Amino acid sequence: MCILCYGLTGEEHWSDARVGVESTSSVRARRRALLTTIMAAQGLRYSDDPTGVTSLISDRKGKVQVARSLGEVWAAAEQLVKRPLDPLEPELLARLDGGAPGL
Amino acid sequence: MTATTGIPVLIVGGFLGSGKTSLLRHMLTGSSDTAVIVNEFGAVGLDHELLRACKERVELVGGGCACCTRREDLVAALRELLDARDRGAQKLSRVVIETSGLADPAPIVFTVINDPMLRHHFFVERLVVTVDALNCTEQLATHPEARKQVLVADKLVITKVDLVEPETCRTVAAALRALNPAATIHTALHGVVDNKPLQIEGGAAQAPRLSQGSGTDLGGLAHTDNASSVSLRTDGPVDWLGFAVWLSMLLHARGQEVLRVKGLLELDDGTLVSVNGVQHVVHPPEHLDRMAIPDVSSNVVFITRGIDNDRLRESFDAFQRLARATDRLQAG
Repeated sequence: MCILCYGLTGEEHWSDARVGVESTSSVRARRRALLTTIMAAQGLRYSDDPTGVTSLISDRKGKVQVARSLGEVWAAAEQLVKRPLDPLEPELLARLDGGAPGL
Repeated sequence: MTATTGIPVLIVGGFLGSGKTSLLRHMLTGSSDTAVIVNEFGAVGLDHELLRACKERVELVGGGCACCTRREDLVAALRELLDARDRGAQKLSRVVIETSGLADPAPIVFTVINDPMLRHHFFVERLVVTVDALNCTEQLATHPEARKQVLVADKLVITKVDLVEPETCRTVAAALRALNPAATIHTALHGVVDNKPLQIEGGAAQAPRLSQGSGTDLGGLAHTDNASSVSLRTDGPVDWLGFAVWLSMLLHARGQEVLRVKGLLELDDGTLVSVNGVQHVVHPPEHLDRMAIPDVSSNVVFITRGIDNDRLRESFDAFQRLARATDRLQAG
């Protein structure tokens, strides 16, 4: 549990391990921007807290899902869009390649 | 925490009668601070002071996915070993887990990596799988458990090589290479492993940019269960974040179909990291010594079932482009 916000911290995700020489804050900022783009391609908004532990995904109607790690982000988004998110789906790749709003 | 902090856990698997115990018996000679966990005392011919038996007891987590299964018996056994070490009752420099002949190794990896306490004390060093040269063709063709063990191995050891002709051994090695291009392949005689890996033509290191299997005729073994392998190579460095986000999303959507992920990534800053995963279960990435491997480029092998490998490559490339475009937008 986080001693500041009393939020339950999720399980440590393998992608949270520090890789390379990039600072943690830079990684979080880049991850936020990348996930914002991917979620925007689904018509969703993405935000996270400054520590990058808790992510909020919301739809245009204001419904919000909370994810405690990168691994939970996809299930949270699927709850909102009511369909599986598959990175092998050509339509999704086309939307990502075409550039999504939100940046 | 990195992937290699703590006490190493070596997992030794292999089908029934494939020579796991012979391998262990030789491996444990003179290593009194190595603990061994087996499924049943009576089933093994091992006389070792740190031998512990545990009856397989599983708890399904993660929505009932087979690989995300917590082995409660192992959690208890590993915690007991830690307690004994902390009481000063024994030294503990390594743990060897011998799986039962029909066990799926993935839940063992999942348990060690994901248990909130164990993951801070242990790491999975390697998954070694023994393969009986005499009987493996039939076993691999008829037992999905045997194929799964081969698919998820880091190191494959062909046993009983004295009972077959050298040509048969070469055919077995080629079949194993086709099933799992990410593993190193060794031979063992009476439990003694030849540490020099077999060099097999058409292996992962020689695979073309996008290859499926090794192209060797293996009597259909390589494509059993519709499993195939693809080697994702890149000419330049890889954006780690683009890769991590992509792989995370891929495993969420297709974890049951991605049987194995293993390889090296050269990142933009020159860092070299290893990636290692079994279905949904991914080890924390491990930094490798660049000086020790000076001439290497990114190459990740995927062993998949029912996934179009061209589409996998397109998806990987698309996420790399997206990560770089996002970076440019941020910088601008």
